[in-house]
Amino acid sequence: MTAVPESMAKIKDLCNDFPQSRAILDWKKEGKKVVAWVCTYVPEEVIMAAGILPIRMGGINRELELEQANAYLYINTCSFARSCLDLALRKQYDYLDGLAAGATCDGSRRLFDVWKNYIPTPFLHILSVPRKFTEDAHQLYREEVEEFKGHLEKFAGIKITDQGLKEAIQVCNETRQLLHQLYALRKVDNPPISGAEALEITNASYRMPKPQFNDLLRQLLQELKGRVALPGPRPRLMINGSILNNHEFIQAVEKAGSIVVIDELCTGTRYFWRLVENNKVDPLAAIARRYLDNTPCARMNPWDVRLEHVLNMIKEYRVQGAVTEIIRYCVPYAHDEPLLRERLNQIGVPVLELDVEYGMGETGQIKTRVEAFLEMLQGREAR
Amino acid sequence: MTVATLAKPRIQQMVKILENILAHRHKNPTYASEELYYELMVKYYRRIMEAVEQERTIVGHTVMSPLEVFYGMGIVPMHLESTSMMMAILLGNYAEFFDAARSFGLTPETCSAHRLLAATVIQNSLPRPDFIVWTNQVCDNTSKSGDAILDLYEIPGIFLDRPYRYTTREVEYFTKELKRLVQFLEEQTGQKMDYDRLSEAVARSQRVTELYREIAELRRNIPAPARNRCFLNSMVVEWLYAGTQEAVEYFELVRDEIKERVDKGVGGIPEERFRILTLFLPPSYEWKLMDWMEQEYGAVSVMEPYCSWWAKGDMDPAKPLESIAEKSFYRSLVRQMHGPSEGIIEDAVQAAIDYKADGSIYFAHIGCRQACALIRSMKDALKDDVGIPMIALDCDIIDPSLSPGEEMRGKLEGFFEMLEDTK
Ligand code: SF4
Ligand code: SF4
Repeated sequence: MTAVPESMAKIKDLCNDFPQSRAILDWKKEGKKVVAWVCTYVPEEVIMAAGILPIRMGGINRELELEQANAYLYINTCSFARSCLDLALRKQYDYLDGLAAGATCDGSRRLFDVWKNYIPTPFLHILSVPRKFTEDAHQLYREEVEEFKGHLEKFAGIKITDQGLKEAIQVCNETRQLLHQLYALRKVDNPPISGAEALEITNASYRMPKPQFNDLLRQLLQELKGRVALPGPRPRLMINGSILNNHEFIQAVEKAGSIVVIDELCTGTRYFWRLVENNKVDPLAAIARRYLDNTPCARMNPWDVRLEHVLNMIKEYRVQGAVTEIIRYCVPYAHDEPLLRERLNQIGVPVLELDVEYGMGETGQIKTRVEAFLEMLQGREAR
Repeated sequence: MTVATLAKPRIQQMVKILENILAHRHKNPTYASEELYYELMVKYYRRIMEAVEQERTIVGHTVMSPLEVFYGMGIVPMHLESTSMMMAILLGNYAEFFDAARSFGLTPETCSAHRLLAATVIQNSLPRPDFIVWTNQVCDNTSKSGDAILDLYEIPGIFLDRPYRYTTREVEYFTKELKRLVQFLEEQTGQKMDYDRLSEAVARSQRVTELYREIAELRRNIPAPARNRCFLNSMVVEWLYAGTQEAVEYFELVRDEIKERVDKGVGGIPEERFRILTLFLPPSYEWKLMDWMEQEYGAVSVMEPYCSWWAKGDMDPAKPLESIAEKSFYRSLVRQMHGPSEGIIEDAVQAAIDYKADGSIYFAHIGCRQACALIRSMKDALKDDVGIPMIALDCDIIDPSLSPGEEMRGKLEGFFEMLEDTK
């Protein structure tokens, strides 16, 4: 692998040891508040407009026994939710001023329930998130966001103004646009950034103040000019499935001889793909619309809107094979899997299905299965 | 036999077996309500069988779908999870179905009720509905099952999105979803909704709710006046017959039987020793466990906060769709499974007090994430607020291979002994 650009090293340094990472602790040192969100249906802009740092709730980048969490959340809760709770029970999230959740899936809503019962956190809020894209759903979600705003105002003791929301939209949109630029670089034959590195960057985008992140990403985009991340040519892969934070998992896939050029993950494209329209009279409505309409999670109905995003990505990024990672007990993605595999096979894209636990990095089994998959892919190309 | 011809003989076989069970019950009577339960099961599946034979419109639907609307439209409902589950139980072909689900690509971690459903669809064992209605009540599995069914059958369907919290705006949203459903059904059947018939169904549903509450009041008595089977049978009847005269008659009969015992001061079983709060559902392949508890340990289920508890709320026949929408926020199972945890935990604590429970049993169905996630919170609440112990029994709601009855009996023996010692 080529040398790590300076800005990327800085980003890593600021986000190492999450959730006890420097970027967050520095913010706290200034006496300011931090609210964690779970998951991508919670509007960050509203939290930011209250002068609070929004960070994405996450677990640990290791496959652990999760003994603490298992005692409070049953073993059949997805390991993402258990990993988050485990960190909280081990006091790694003690600095949090709040937790804002979306009632998006059984895993995340029960994480919120159990958190509420056992982790003392001053601000707790859960939003009802419709599963449809209809106008009625938009109206409901808009009102949910309004209520969330009111609750945050009370908690922070400030009035969230339209101006404040517009500024937050501006900053978040900038993050999204910069991430788009970064991802666009992956369309070329020998991308300047690997899939593992890309995930580290997107992870950082929701784990530090966005203006600081934007500056570093702008610098990185300059530094990537002329770089080749991994010697090519290599089979071009997409990663999709349940939440994935550990870049070592992608690293393992790439180590086997591939390059991951795109993802359909809520920690990747689905986090930043759409912008909030910032020319609207009512910024809150614009925010609500974007969050519900964003490239969907497997929870949304109809499911083929998700499929469409996957298919578009495959075409745009010239994907040759897909790796689907499903966290055990992640029901929304597990149910989509047979249908997704069939559709991708129909367009000639083979799928490697991996049942994983959240936090998993490289394992012997993953290595063997990825190697076999790549061999098969290369065999097809040679034919 | 080709796969395509499996549905008809399988439903016929189910009806035959149920008829035999019913005949056996008639010969060996216990409670009239238990006989009526089997009569209703025969009637329900026979109606589906006849609809298949006569090519009448069948709507396949997931649990807690608004039955009143289907009955209001005069179409034949087929409860997808119950029908596939009943098929596996009666025909005893679990292994065949689970294998089919696995080859389709569903991971073993997805709820077995839904793996079974997918399997009966893949294998064409389930009568093919004309369209399906599915909802996110009661969990992610129900909300996702419909996608595969639509794809496999290539039939139309509509998904009903029931929001998370019980607020006015969320009830309004769900009412609009139901309006969309009516429109969908009208398009599919070419018939108009008969609103008078719908209002009548709503009135009957309200009657069932009142009877449920009346029964719940009577069940506070010591000794407990209902047998353990009663709550299970009642739950199934309500799942299949909400909004019908059959449901009203069944619940009236249950109420009368219980009332008679209360008036006489006798219990549902000869000697009551332990009053148990049942949390979540015993495995469908092992309802006998509930009989065994009664017979061997005098353990009666005094209340089931998940499946027999209806919170406050009433239906108004003059506002049928609004009422049906609202019901899905306070009715049993949905309120508890698809709502914030405070609801079920507070209900359980209150029930433990009101029903003077000695202990509680939590059926930890491995495929059910939202039920299991609250085991610890529930255990602590019952211990701290009421001082009663809880045992969590690992099991699967359908798959007998995971936790055989013997194993569960062994664990329960220890639990009852512990309860005895602490008395
Ligand atoms: S989507 Fe899957 S991984 Fe994410 S919280 Fe829900 S169940 Fe867990
Ligand atoms: S048992 Fe649990 S997971 Fe399965 S369908 Fe019922 S609520 Fe869903």
